[in-house]
Amino acid sequence: MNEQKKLYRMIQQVSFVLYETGLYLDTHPNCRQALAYFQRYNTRLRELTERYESRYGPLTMYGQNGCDRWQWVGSPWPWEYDAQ
Amino acid sequence: MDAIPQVSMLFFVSAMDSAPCHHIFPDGIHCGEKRIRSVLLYSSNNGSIRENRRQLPMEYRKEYGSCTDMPEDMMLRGALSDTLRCSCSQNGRPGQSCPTVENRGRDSGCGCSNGSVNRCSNRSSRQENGSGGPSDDGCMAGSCVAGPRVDPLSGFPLAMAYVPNQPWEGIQEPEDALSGGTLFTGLLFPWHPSRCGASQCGSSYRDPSHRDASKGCGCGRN
Repeated sequence: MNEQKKLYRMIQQVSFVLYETGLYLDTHPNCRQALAYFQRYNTRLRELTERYESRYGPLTMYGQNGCDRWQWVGSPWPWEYDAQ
Repeated sequence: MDAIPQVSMLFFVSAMDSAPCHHIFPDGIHCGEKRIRSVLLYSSNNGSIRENRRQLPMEYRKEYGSCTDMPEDMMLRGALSDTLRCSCSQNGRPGQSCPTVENRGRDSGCGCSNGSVNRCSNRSSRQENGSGGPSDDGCMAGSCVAGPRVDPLSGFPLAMAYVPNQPWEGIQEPEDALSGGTLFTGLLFPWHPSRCGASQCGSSYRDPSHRDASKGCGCGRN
């Protein structure tokens, strides 16, 4: 697994636990442990996303970073990640 | 209530006109949804039937959605002897038609028993009352199950799901969470139908806390 795929995999993992934690917080909005967990991994996700996009292009359309070309269309489509 | 050693029949008297039908278990009375104000105890003593009306305490004269919250002293524990045959009537008088829900006694298993006063052998009345397909003993197929007679969930509506409050515990590492499909180990139920049998996982195979990963089975949904 190359570095890009490793990084992408980590983003998937962190995104998943954030989503799971968000579902938990929907029913436990005052759970401090869950809030701290969410905050920690939310920060982690931002770091990973910035690292990935700075190296390999935007992960989402909103990752466009002020270039003179629309980078989103040049980044891999979801089905292209495994092919890389 | 005082213990009555030889109770042969037991009737509920409802303040409502509609048929009160209540479960009678060896450990006591599980009332249904109707108001109960008194019970009639028919005790058999040397062949003679004695009627004994017992008024229920005032605080119990209210409607219960189920009897699970009924105080235990309300239950006629001990009043039901081994010779118990149970039944219920619409107005407290014997000889009424079979109730809408099966009654159970210690000896009769379930279904309407052939009590000495009130016989619930009218098959058509059972069918009309929607008590299911009759069998030889008048029981619904699903109502006579092996095992303990007293169902701890008796009185609860059928097909009601529950969701316990989820604690924040058993948090997996992100890598394991993504591969397992859940962040919480308490919700981790791998599906291995061919590898997860009760023989492998033991009697606690339904309990996620007793899952044995070494046996390759989650056992949570088998």
